[in-house]
Amino acid sequence: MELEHQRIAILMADRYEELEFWYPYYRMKEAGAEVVVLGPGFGPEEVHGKHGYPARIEARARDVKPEDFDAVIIPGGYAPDLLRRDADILGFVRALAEAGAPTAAICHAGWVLISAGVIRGKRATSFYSIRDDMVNAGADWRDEEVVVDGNIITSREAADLPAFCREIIRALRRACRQKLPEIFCPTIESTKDQ
Amino acid sequence: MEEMKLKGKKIAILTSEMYEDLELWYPYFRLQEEGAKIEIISMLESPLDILGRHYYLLKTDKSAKEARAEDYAALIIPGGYAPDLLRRNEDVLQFVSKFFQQKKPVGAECQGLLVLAAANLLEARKATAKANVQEEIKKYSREKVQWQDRDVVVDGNLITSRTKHALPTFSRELIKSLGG
Repeated sequence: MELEHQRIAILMADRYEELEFWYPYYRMKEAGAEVVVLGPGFGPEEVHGKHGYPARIEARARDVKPEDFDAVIIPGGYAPDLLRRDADILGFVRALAEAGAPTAAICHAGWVLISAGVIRGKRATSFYSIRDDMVNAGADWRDEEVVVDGNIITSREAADLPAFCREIIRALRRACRQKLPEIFCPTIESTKDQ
Repeated sequence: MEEMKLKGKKIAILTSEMYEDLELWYPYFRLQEEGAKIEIISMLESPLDILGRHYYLLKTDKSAKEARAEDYAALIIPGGYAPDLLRRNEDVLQFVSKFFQQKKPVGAECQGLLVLAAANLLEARKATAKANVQEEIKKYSREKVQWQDRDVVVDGNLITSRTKHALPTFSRELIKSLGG
């Protein structure tokens, strides 16, 4: 499968946006990746989305090493406002972004990129309501379904999820080639054969 | 650059009020990611805004009366309470039956099987469902389904899935059955 041996963190806190969490969560598993649901250092293990769907935090950012992960995905909702209060979450995101690992944020998750200090000078998008926050933090904001600037991947809202995940998977394939010999990375042919 | 595996294909999702949100939206986004076009079919006059069990808003495209199975490469029936509403409608049952006549892939998730049972399409088919759905089908259908204790079962054109957690496997099988 496309993303075998890749380990991806999806950040999670209360009042997360369900589709923006569950679509990438199942999608990365469908592609064969290992997915870890990573939360801040506070709050219960069981959290609920904006629409009431429960989800479980599997690990806390303070207890993991960024170098053990190949990418981070940050769903939207109001969870990003909780996530950005946790220094370990911000340190985790900054470490991955600076290491060149795919760092993907959708909707209100731009808030986490802002507080992690990784958005200045980058082309990016977000939910329109936090556009000013993004611009004030130094992002070159675009109104597009997905914006890729280096390893930073951003989308506006749930309806952009197909494009968002397509770019995350593409970025993980690229990152694999930079890190490992070609033979360990999925080729265009092998993904066609599935 | 990798190809989108389902470019140019049109796929019908059959649903109604009280659909199970993730079982609808996962395949909805997933097939779009592969380039497919999705249409939402309901028994109701369309277009219409409907709500899922968790209140995700969805716009329907066509009623089962207007929609023609010939126009679609596959059919998906997500679960929730929507299938219980759908199965009471004759146009829905005819629409679904045509996919079987035309041997096109049909994916039924969880309670979605209730619609197939009501259209008498499950005789001797291998399928999976949660115990409560199996019970419900036994109650009013004489057809003998060969229940399998697996999360996802593929039997010819029929792909069934019993829980949300099987969504990755379910959609992998669905895409495979569409030649992707």
